[in-house]
Amino acid sequence: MALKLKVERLTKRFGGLTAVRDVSFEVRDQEILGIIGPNGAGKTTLFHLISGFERPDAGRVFLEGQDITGKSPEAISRLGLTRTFQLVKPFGKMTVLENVCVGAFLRRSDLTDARAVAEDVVELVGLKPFADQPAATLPIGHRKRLELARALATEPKILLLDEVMGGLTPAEIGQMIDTIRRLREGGLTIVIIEHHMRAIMSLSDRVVVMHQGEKIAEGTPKEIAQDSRVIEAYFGGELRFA
Amino acid sequence: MLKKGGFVLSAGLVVLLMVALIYQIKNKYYLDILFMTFFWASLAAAWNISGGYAGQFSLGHAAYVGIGAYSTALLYINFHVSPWIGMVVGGLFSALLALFIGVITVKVRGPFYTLITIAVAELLYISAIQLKELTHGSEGVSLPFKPGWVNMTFRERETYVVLALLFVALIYFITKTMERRRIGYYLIAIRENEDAARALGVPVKEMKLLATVLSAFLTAVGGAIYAMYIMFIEPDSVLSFAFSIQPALMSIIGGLGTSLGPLIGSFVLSPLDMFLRESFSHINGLNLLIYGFLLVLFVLFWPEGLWPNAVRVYRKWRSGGVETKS
Ligand SMILES: Nc1ncnc2c1ncn2[C@@H]1O[C@H](COP(=O)(O)OP(=O)(O)OP(=O)(O)O)[C@@H](O)[C@H]1O
Ligand SMILES: [Mg+2]
Repeated sequence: MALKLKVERLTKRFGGLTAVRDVSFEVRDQEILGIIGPNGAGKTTLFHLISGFERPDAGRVFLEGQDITGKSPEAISRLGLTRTFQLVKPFGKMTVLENVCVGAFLRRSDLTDARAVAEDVVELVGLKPFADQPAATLPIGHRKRLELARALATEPKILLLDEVMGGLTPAEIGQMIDTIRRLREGGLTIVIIEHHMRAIMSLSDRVVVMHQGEKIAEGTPKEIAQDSRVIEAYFGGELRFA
Repeated sequence: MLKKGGFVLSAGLVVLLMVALIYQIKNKYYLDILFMTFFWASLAAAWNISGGYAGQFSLGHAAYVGIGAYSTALLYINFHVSPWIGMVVGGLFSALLALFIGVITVKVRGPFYTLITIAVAELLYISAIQLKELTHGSEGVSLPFKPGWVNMTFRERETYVVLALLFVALIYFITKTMERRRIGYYLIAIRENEDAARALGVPVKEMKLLATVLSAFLTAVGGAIYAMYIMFIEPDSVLSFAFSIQPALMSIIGGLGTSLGPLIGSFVLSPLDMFLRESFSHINGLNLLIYGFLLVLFVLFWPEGLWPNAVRVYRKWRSGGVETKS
């Protein structure tokens, strides 16, 4: 299978703290790669580095073989890689549909076309009943879906999801898992950061485990669950595989 | 929501109606108030494109008013260039300055951007006083009274009022058109959350530049029309700090980043300002004190602006008293 994303020895320091240290991994076409790790492990920083929001101190990022290291977030998004934010960033005064239109405008210049894409996506993530509400009025669970919807509307080849399940009810998590599976079946490649173990273990083809900025393990969910370093990193069995 | 054709038609009707009304007014003072109201509305609406939609909070738009006024006046008296052409030249000069400011402020946000715009306007004000060869310094420039369309000079005050009205209508139309297009969505997205916009592929730098350049161009055209109306320009009359402050104030009071907000802001504040000036001129500064006090009240009671507030009240009334909280 073709290589979609290649991360090569990425390092990022903030003053004395090394948030990401020498991290490498690859993501193949239509794969779902999970990234887990305790709070502060460097997962979000890794996304910032890949999506162009932070410049790495060392290392390179390749999107479909093209070196995108140091490119701007808007350029990277145009090349087909879109990320969501763990701390949701809705355009508060715009309606849900208008929020999604902003994403859809990346590949369509006409409002009618953009709206058509946006309406489909809004329906897909289950926000249709809220389409005409200002985004600022949405509860947190819906805001997470809006993050996903906007990113999807850019029609990416590869999607980076940063904790899109945080704050969702168990039923909503079930729906989200279904949605993500369907997206992959539709041809998307997905990298997903998640604390919700059951979700990540059931969704991911492979999992990368981070701890204190380093990648400490990589493998199938099964392999990861049995890895002694992983269990140690999570200390006290925060890791539950049901 | 009105269909596009319906919108153009109804806006056209409103303008026609207003033109008809203008010709009913014989009182020179009222016509002056009306001209100033439209003129301020055009500056506010032009400011709103960059300050309101794109969130580029400039307090230096006086620079563009001045450039528009001086370019037009100086080309006219020195080279007999028609003000219609002069105002486009002034617009282009302003656009260039805006581009320059935009490029040097690419990395700065918020208050620093505002400070730089204030500094540039101040620099231009000082230059206009100092460069006597070019601008006649604080002596000012008098424009000859030679009525005719080519000279943008008219016997009847009504014509100037109509001109100002048409200019407001043009800017309103531009803004309204933007709102229904990618550029409008992008500008609002940038204002609401720049990082989220970038993640969705919005070319933030280019969009901000575009908004600022357009805003500067239109502001300069406004300055040109104003120069032809007052027929005498000096640094204090066309580069005054008021041209930087008032358009921002009117947009805020009326509703930032909305197409009607700045117009409503001007329709309320301009007559108010002129009325207070007229009524309380016997005590120096009293009119400003009252004006300032009223502004505070506006901001306290309608912090989102008159227009967004009116829309909300209307929606509430229509939906039978159930307010949708925003
Ligand atoms: N801009 C920054 N400046 C300084 N330190 C930062 C910055 N961003 C992140 N850090 C630090 O880098 C480390 C990694 O943070 P990061 O947000 O990547 O962790 P994470 O794995 O996403 O955590 P969580 O699971 O809580 O989201 C943390 O110690 C954090 O405080
Ligand atoms: Mg994180």
